[in-house]
Amino acid sequence: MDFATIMQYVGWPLIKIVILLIPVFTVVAYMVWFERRLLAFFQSRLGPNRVGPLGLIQPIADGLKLFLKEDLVPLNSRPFLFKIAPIFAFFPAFVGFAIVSWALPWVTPSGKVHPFVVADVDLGILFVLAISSLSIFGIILAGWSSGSKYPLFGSLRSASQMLAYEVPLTLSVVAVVLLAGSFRLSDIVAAQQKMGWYYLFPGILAFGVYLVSAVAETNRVPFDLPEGESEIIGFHTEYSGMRFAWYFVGEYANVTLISVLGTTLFLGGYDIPFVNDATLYAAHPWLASILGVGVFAAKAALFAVFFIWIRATWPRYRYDQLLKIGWVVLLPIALANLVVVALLKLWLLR
Amino acid sequence: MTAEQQAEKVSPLREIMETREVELNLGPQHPATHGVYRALVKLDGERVLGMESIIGYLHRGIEKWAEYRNWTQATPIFDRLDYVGAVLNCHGYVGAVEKLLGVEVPKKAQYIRVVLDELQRIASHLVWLGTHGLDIGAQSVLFYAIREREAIMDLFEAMLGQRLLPNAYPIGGVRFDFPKGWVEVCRRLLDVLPQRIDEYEGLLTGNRIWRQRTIGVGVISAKDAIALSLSGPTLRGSGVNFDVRKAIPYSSYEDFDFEIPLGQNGDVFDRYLCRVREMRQSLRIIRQALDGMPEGELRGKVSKIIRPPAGEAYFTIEAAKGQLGFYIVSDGGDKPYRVHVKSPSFVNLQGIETMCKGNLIADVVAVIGSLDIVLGEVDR
Amino acid sequence: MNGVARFVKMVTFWELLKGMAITSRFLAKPKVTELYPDVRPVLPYRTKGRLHVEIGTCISCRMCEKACPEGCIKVFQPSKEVFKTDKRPVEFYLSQEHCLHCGLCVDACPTGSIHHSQEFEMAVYNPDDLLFDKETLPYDLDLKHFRWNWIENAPVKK
Repeated sequence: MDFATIMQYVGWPLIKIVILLIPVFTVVAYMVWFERRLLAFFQSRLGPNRVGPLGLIQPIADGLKLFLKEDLVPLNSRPFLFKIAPIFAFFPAFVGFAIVSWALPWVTPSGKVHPFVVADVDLGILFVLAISSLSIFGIILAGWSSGSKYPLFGSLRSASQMLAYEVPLTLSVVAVVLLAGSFRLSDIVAAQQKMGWYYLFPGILAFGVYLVSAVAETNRVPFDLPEGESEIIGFHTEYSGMRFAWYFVGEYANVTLISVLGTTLFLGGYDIPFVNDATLYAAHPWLASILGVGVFAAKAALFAVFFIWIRATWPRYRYDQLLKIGWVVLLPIALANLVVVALLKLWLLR
Repeated sequence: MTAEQQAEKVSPLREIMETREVELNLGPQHPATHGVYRALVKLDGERVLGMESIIGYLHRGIEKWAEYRNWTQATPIFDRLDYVGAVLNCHGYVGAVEKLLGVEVPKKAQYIRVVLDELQRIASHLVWLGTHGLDIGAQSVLFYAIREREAIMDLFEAMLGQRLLPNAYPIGGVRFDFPKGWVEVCRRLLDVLPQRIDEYEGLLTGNRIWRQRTIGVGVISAKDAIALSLSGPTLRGSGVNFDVRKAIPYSSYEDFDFEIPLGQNGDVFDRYLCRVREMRQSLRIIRQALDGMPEGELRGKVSKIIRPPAGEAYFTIEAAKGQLGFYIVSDGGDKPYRVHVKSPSFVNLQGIETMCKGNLIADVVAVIGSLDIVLGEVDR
Repeated sequence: MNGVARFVKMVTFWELLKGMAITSRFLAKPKVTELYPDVRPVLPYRTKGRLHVEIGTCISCRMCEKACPEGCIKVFQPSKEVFKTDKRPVEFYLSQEHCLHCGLCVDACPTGSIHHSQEFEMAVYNPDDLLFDKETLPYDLDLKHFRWNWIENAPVKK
């Protein structure tokens, strides 16, 4: 193996991963700040505003505090499982970012194409769904290994909730895949650009199902039962310090990932509305890519704002009602929508 | 072969799949028990099979404490029974002593008491609304409710000097008249509050999630409620028309025109509606009291050292949580011989087992919220 | 018709969106958070803060001591010969630690020497720091920040 091959398969991906992970970590950390701040504004408070200007150093201060806290392992727990469980919750959320295509590929003057994605996998969306299902192990292991009743209840709830909502989520994604004809995220965006419409409109039902299941998948209000803090304190009751922080970061990474995926699938990803990419390319080869990332972030932020908004407004569902909504309401809608989209694809959008 | 044996034969998995009841300690450190209340819940999965209330974590011996202070000194400590409705507690105790002394409270003092009582009732209900909402997951309601309560607390601070535990009334009347400008601020609040209550209702009453969480949950029939001697909105949610302000009017409540909101089914939603409507009625009462404020003395004829004649008296008021009664015994000395508090939270807590049985564990939280218990009052 | 309207409302998530409209209304409104150490609260006239004793006008009658439900006041009268000319207490102990801020001592005082000030910042590292005596009780009142409320609370002589 020569140097170029090694660079192609090991070196460049590693560099890309590092380049990607730094902003993703920052975004996830500032999601917390953004959520607290926005939530406070909805509730006519100010939120964290003491640490640094506008409270911007708050995530760093929180992280430092959690790092320095004592790491407690309960006597009743199974220590090994207890210690590795947070990793399962933490890493799937981050792995998912690998296949997201962030902007139009950058074409060098010599004609070489550099895509803005760590791994442009053919079955990208399936990969995300498969990986994100892994995170349930983190929750179940946490509940089971804690040796306490509240986490056990939390993890049991979470397991059934994830099962109930994975199905409609996948079905809503399948509708998009049907429309686009590809599992690859960059192809899905390209298909939306070609069609001239975002899949929000032909797939409005799928979008609704996706939104609801996304809220449930990320365990947020009104489906935040696994950690319904006023009933059963949650699967991470016994965790403290940095191990708790892994769950926390993992959860927010999940929210970010779900927002990013939703943007790609339904809101056209990095496509800049009303602007032709060719003109941007003509102006400067980088312009389309850089603007694309910005537009992508703005669209994903819409999702985040929506999540925070409903958290500020709605009460929480009960366990049985949640499962009922998942199986009895969302699943039939998603299935029916699949048929509609298939027919649509067959006759209208050929 | 009995049916049971047959079932056992059919399912060889039975032994492996056998389920057990779980005993779960809900509290004393639990975010939704509103204090150090502990419920021993027997669970089958998430369904509640049985429930046992264990109280006493906040016992401070207030009744005994009062026996070691003279009649005047005992007033501030009764604020600490129900610390979100302190003024009402003070009214209960002071009213009982006045009854024993046979003091006539001047009309103006009675009206001022009505204004402060009703403000305190609204403040207490706002705290309840916020925490109840938070228990069921509606976060913002808590902050909105606390914000409005803050305005009431500011009024208390301007009028009585303290916000939470103001030691509002001396025996025989009130200490001060309203300060300058107080009535105008209060009237402004009365104009604002109905819109605010509309907002809470907009967030909760029509909300399908809220309705699904509360309607048909924690039902207690009128018969059971009377049998358990529940009182206040918890009783009225079941449709029993009993309000001390109407039934045994005190402090000139017969002068005011107001309604008693009643529920029908006795579930969490009805109790919620009762309290929210009660807030609106309280606003009506305050407005009438401010409009019809008579002139006159602030305090009746009470000597500086109070020595009620030997005997006993029972005085009861409608506190925010329900019927609050004070039974006092005097031996003619300057100290109470016995003070017994019939506290509404303690009595209402008895209904919790009837309400929770057969519901899910999430409903237990909703039911505890709807009872509006304050553990300071339960344990005393 | 009613049923149709209800169905439309159910499908369009009408009341859920209404709730979101209510919360969004507060997004741009001024916030109610008080930035306390930066912005000092304006306290009303009658605020019952830390007890302040004017030793100069005190006549050592011990009414406040008897009125206090928590027994946090201790007044030492001067000897009989001194009392005839100078009624000021020889020592005055006040444990702010146990004080309920109930105002019963203020009610009882015949001269208006004891009254609540507007000071409310009484957090200390050592509880003993809340024990005040004759020297520390009449602390410096910064009239700019703290308005005295004893003028209103003092009994009116008839």
